[in-house]
Amino acid sequence: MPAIDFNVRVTDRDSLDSFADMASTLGFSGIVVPTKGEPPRGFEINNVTIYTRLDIKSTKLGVLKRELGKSRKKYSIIAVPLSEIDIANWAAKEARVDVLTFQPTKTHHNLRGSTARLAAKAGTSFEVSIAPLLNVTGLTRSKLIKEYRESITTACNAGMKVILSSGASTPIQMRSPWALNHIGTLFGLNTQYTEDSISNHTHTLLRENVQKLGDNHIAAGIELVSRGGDE
Amino acid sequence: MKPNRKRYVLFTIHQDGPSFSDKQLASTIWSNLLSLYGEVGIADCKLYINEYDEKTGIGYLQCNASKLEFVITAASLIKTINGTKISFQPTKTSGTIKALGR
Repeated sequence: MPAIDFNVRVTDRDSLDSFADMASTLGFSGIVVPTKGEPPRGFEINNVTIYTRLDIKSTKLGVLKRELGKSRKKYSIIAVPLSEIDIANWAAKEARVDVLTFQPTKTHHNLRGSTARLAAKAGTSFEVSIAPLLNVTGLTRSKLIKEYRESITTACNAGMKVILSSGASTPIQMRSPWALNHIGTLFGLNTQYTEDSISNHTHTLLRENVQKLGDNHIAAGIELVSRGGDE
Repeated sequence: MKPNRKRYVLFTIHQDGPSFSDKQLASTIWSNLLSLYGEVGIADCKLYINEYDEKTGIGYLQCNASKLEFVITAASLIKTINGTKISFQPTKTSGTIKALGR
């Protein structure tokens, strides 16, 4: 099954075409981008389906809850970066949050075992972007790989699904699904697992979310089949 | 089983900038391999760029079968070669050049 790049940092609508072209060349069937105002159920450019995502970066739980309530129906995917323990734990067990993301910064937060167990119960996935790895070399890269590996091991031990993405901010930073599978081996993931996660798991996640965004969706497992007066 | 089986990798390099030679490509993959896996890890890599077309970015390389994963990983993590931004895309692997061309 063709893969989906779960995190492509497209900044504006104009550059979307070049990202879609690159994704098509590399063999992706879809990409998930953080652009506003696009249809959340996905649209196609150059045979690549474009889905939207929102990364809610908040240091206050109240703001996160409010933003989530406002935005859930406007985006295909809702992501919350790992941060303070109360926010991470709340997001992990919240069914409306699809993925927890690991973004290494100076004040980064590793994935805790307790957060991972809550997320695994709620079906929240753990997303890791490889873009930071491309920007560093030597000892800095070594330390970064160690941090990735620790968080991914915690996620896998708890039963969370790990999704590798490019996190590319330019088309040339994107990597093919096969390259991503191999980069995953640096974090202790086998190529089969990564392949399954970036193709099957991402498709399932997006299909379920798109179904929920439909007019006929009522609740999990309940869907309006026909309306009164329909033939 | 042969002790040193070869593996060939067909690849495409997408680039944003001026082109570079196969020697520059090989040297960048080697330095990335060294940085990621160390001297001992890559001792019997036997990496060679057999063919590389600078215009199309298509080529194939040869390496030891047991180190294939190392080579693809290291090449995939290359960001720039001689200031040119690149994206390494492995396309196909094979035990013979003939099968690679099919």
